[in-house]
Formats: sequence, structure tokens, C-alpha cells
Amino acid sequence: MPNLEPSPVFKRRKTEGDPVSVHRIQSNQTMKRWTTKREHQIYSSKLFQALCRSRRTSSSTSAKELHQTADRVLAITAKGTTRWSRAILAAPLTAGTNMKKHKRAKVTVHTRLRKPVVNREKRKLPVVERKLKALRRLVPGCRKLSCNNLLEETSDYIVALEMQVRAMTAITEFLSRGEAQAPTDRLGSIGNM
Amino acid sequence: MDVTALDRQQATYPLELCASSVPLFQSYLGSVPIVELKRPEAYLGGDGFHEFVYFPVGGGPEFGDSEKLNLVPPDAAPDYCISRTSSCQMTAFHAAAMKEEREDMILEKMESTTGSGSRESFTKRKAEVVADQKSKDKRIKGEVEGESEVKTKCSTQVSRNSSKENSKACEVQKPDYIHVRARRGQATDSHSLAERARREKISKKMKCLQDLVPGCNKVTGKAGMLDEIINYVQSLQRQVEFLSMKIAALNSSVEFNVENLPIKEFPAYVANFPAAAKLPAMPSLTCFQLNPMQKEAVNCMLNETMHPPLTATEGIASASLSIPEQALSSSTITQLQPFSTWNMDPQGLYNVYNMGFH
Repeated sequence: MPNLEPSPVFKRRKTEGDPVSVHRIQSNQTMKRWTTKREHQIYSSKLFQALCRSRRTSSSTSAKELHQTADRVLAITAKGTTRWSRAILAAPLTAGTNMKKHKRAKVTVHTRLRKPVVNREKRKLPVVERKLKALRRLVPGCRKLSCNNLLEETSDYIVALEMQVRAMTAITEFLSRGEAQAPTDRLGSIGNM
Repeated sequence: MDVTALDRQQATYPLELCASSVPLFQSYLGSVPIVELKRPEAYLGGDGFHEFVYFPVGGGPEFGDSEKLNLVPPDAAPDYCISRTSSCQMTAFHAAAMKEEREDMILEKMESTTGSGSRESFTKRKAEVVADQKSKDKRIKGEVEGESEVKTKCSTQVSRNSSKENSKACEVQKPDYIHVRARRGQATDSHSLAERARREKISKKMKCLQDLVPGCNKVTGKAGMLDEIINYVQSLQRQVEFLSMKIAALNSSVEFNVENLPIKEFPAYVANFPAAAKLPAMPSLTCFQLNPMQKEAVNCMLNETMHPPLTATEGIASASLSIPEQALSSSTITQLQPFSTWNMDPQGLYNVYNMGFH
């Protein structure tokens, strides 16, 4: 893997050498930022520390808390440049998202009952719009973004998620190996006494 | 976004390579007399371009103070060359264009005078500036320019990145004006230009996403790709959730004192992760930096593993045992380093000791 430091944008432009639009440069930077080994290590170590800390403070770690912690660490690693990371960090540590979804579902049902024909036509036409809506629901903090910015946030979010998955897989392997070997070692050593 | 604005500013000005370029930027700007900026305004129409070439540049980059400079790029004036060839009416924004041209000239002069290693960067910067300028013609209201003309006029700059200039519709993502060139045979209405610009931006981003999301190559069209994207994001989120559940389960089952966990060995683990492999029982060492009762186990292990090695090592190993039941000190570890005949996990063991204890 090439050793790409998260250098300032200017340096990256110099190496790329082509005067593409700013967006393109940023998207390349996005990819490089999340795919470098260094970022991976940074994220993993931070996550590990956060895990240790959380384990120290509360005896039981629920999956949800862990998930939230992992997301927050990921957002911190993003250094506040993307909207989804800011949204993750800004959101309080509660599970309030479900309620909103229920409310929206109810609203749509009522309108459909009232005006079946007209709304059906209107609703089926902008297919792309519906998908964009679904995407907006998936990416945190992007509920009112334009299509343009939404796609940008999505690409960054996808790369970040990939890194998160990789790091968490590494952690699980690490912990599972530690767990598998520790008891056997202990037993082995005590048995040989 | 704020970041993109800053990036663009960095792009348009020859700045030092620095992460926090803004203070440098300011200092850079501060060194400029104001006089020179006013001069381009005299060059409305006519052969202002040629006069730029002889524009005196006194020892380095000279720009006005930051306020003046802010006028120049964001106003996004059309390329002076374009305006010349098309003999447009010169208006206020053309003056701004000339300022930009002047900057380019200054950049050139700067390169020759400074001759520093950052020359290339200036070149590229300037090339980018030119590229940005080239793409600005929305204000021309749909005039179709011959690219060859533009190229000849700005040959000095274009030659540096001529290949990049071939795109007929360049876009700059900025909250201000969107600059698109009208293609031959297409509507040159401002509305259609705007729409085309927007569509092209979106398609560019969709292409980026296509590279990211696996399996998107087969699907064509926005709807299909968006479907794939949504599925992929959902699957990634589900994976994260599943992994978090797994880690939570592992956490509860593995009982070790977290403070003693060596964080430093973990990066090595993670670094090896993509290669997946064979972490030579490095994680097993977590059991060593642990609770007192587990440290007893460690001491037992030391005892046990002492037997096969040589007597010389035995002596040192016994010395290590005399250490009280706190974390093994680094001195012992350094002594243990040369031993490669541990029964248990040879390489992995002392690798981790090296890393974990400092």
C-alpha cells in the first residue's frame, strides 16, 4: 500500500498534476484519506482505547453502546470535514431515531388514502427522487441535502464505513484470539507446575 | 463547504505547502503594494494582454491585501483570452479577469525570479488557475468559443497542461457561478447551460460512487446505481452492527484488566489485518499484562519456559521472577529479548513485549 500521508490538498494536487475541478480533487482526497494504512491504524487504536475506557466505566457493554462508540470514533477520525461526521457527533447519546420514522410512515399512509389516483402518479414518477430519499435516510445528517452534496457525502460515508468494518473485524479477531489462547495458556502453565 | 472554499483559494494562489496555509496566505498577501492591482483596470479592451507580459513584477509575488484579492477569483470572471477573441463588451468583471491574467503573469515572473523548487507547484497551480478560468464563460451568455483560439492566446499556460484543457465542459464546484462551456450544436441558453452543468456534476459524482460500490458496473442509469448504493450502504451498516454485537459479546466473556492491555501491539495487529494472517499468537500476550492472579500465571510460565533454555538464560530469567507482581518492567523485557527459545510463543511473545512495555 502506498504510504499516503493525509497531506494538505495542495500537495495532492501537485502529485496529481491535472487541473480537474475542486470536487474531483476532494473526492480523490476522500478516498485516499480513508484508505491509508495510517488512518486505519489511527482509527483502530482510538477505537480500542475507547473500548477499554468504556469497559472500565461500565461493567456491561451493550452492542448498541459499542456501535455508537464506534460511530463516534469514526466521526472523530473524519476531523469534522463531512456533514455525516458532524451529525454523528452532534447527535445525543439516545435512541430517538425510531420515533421519527414512525411518524413519517403514518403521514404517508393518510395522504395515500385521501388522494389515491393523483398521488400515485406523482409518487411513481420521480423514481430517482425516492431513491435519493432512501439514501438520505441512511446517511446520517443528510436529510435535507441536495442530490449533489448527498452523493458526495455518500461516497465519503461509504469509504469510512468500509474502514470501520475492517477495523472492527480486526478487533474481533484480536479479541477472539486472545480469548481462545488465554485460558489454554493459563491452564497449561498451571498444569505444569 | 468551507473546506472546498479553502481548497479553491489554495488552488488559485501560489502558497507555501502547509496545512495551515491561511496564516501564510495572509502574510503572503500582506507584502504587496496596492498599486499594481489598479493597473489592470486601465486595460479595458485593446491589447491589455500584451501589456501584461511586460508588467513589472518587483521581486516576488505582489498582490493586494486580502480584501482586494478576494475580489478576484470568486467573482469568476471569464478568461481574458476568451473575451479578447470574442471581442465582448468589456465590463467590470473583465477587469477582474485581467487581474487574474496578471496574476498568472506574475506567477510566471515569480517562477523565473525565485527559481525555487516550488516552481513546479506554481506551474501546476497556475495551470489550475488557467483551467478554472478557461471554464468560466457562463457570463458570456452562451457564446461558443473556438478552443484553438483560446489555446493560442494562452499558449504559455496551456502548453503546460494542454491535455487537461481538452474537456469542453469544465466545472468548478463552488457556491458561486457555475462555469460551463456550451458544446457545438447544443442550446446555449443560460438555463440549459445551468442544467447541463448540474447534470454533469451529478454524473461525475455518480461515477465516483460507481468506483466505490462493487457490482455497480453492470447497472446503468441513475436509478439502478442508486439502488446498488443504497443496498451497499445498508449492508455496510448491518455489518458494523453485527461486528459491534460480536465485540460486545467478546468483551463480556474475556475478563481482563483493560488498563494493562497493550495498545501498542494492537496497531501491529491491525497493520497485519489486511494480510489476514498469521499473527503469531500476538494476542495471546494480552493474557500476560493482566490481573495479579494472571501475573502469577505469567511467572509460572517463565518458570516453566526457563527449563529448556541454557543456564545463562536461567539466571536472568530467575532474576526476572524476583520482580514483584506488578507489570513486568521494561528492563526485564530487554533482558528477555535475546531469548528466542521460549516454548510457548517465541517470536510473538517477545515482539509484543518489545512493543507493549515502554
